[in-house]
Amino acid sequence: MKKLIIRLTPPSLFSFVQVSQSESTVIKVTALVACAVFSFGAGALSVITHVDNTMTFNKQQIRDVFMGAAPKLKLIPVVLPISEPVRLQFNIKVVGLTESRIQSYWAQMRFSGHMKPPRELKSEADVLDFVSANPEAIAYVSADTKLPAGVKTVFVLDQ
Amino acid sequence: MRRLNSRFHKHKIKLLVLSCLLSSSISVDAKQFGDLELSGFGRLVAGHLNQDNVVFNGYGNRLTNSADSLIALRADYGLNDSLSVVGQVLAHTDDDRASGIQWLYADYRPTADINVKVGRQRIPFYNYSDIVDVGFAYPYARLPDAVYSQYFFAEFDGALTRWSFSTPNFSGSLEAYYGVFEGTVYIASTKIEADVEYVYGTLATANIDNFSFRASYHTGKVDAQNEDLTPLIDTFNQFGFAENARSLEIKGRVQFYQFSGAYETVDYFARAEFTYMTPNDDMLIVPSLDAFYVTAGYNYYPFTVHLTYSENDVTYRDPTNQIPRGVSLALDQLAFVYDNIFENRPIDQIKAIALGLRYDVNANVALKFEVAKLRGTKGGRAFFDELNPSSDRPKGVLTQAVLEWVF
Repeated sequence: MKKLIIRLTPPSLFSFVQVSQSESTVIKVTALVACAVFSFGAGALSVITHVDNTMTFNKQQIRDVFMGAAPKLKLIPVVLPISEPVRLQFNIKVVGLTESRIQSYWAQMRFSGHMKPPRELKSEADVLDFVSANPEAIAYVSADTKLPAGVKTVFVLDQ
Repeated sequence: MRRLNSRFHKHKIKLLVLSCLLSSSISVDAKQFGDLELSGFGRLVAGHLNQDNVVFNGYGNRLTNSADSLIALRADYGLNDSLSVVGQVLAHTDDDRASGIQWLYADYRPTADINVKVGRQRIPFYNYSDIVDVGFAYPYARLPDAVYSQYFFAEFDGALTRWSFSTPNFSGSLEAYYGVFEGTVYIASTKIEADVEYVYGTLATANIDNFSFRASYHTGKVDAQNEDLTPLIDTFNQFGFAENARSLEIKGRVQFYQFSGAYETVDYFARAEFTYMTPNDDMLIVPSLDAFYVTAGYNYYPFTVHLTYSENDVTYRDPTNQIPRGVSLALDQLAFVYDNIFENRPIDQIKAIALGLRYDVNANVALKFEVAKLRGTKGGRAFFDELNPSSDRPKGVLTQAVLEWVF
């Protein structure tokens, strides 16, 4: 009889590894909420802007924009809800922090009067609408999302 | 009267819990009402010290939830795209801690990277100065006492400007402020009414990859009255012992240096903060203080574990007693009183090691549990409110459970 063991590992592993053993199947699932990985997989994501935006970005700059540390660029970052797997992937792969650490960071920024967190939109469709309508907007979506005419990809994060 | 206070306290705790439940069930975000944005935070802290007959910052050998619990409401009203007015009121459950308006300032942003605040605001001595009361913003149940109990004063009235910058490889900010303050200050943990004639400072932050740094310098001129010592100071002046009198005054310049750094990844983090405060040479009743803490932590979302070691060092300069001995009984008694004051200056020196766990319930509520072992020096006070005379040093294990929330 096969036993199923789910072992939680640190979220940075972001892996889904199935290992067969003689009597059991050991499944390592990231602690970053197992359901997120099951529903989405560990796919890539795209950082998008309005098609008129001529800026180029590296990972550090994108991190700075979404953490409010690059106001001079005058960009308007928008994010997806916590329930969206691509947000968790963005947090880990681009920002390099857990969701809870990012929430505590924004509490610090808000109550010290420095800045407010990015606006949160309900879905990727809303994000695409917002970005196509705002030349200063910047956002992220899953890499397989079909982009409308007014939106372009400025950075791709492979899985 | 006591029963009334107890009932009032119970109502305050109920109010805290209710506001937490409301904030966690309604929404994560601040509430927007046209140009007015309302937000807030709260913390419900229960704690216990495992020692009889001693009290440490309100915690004794009986479970209490009134020492550090609080709630705050913040209003941000936008007058136009670049100007807003911000106010924050805070209520402590501990009647000895000041409740009321903490922040009330105009926030002007002439450009995207420049921010000017004018009015009452928090003085940015420490890494967590701005958000000392916002427990949700840090992993500790209690900020390390060795560093944060030395808080001289928390607010000032004045202007602060901040410039944020970024390059493709790093980002940071520069701040400078100038202001005044009149009110309660804490000198060697003693509450004293003071007039800070001026206070100014500058600070810089930098973020590079997973590292972040903060360095700051502050100085201010203090004129404080310790009511207990005023009659003695007058007596010394009457007898012509001006140097003795001067040595008991809290009047002069104080300088403060701070440096902190952090390294954070998805899995691990490390943080450290160092501070050094020194008064003018002739302010003998005020000690020089240096302090630090180091933290190592592990993230296992939604859990965070930290281990923190902290300690501080208190240094007093020795006075020169001008009063001649053997001339008269009155002068001998005066000299004795003077020496006695300096021999009994409080030594708030502490070493602490804390192990804490944080559980993020959702995006705006967190639970914390922390155990801290505290140890003062022999004959010292170590920030304890009440000491056990039969013990050679203040010590104890402080256990705290905290509910933190923001809304």
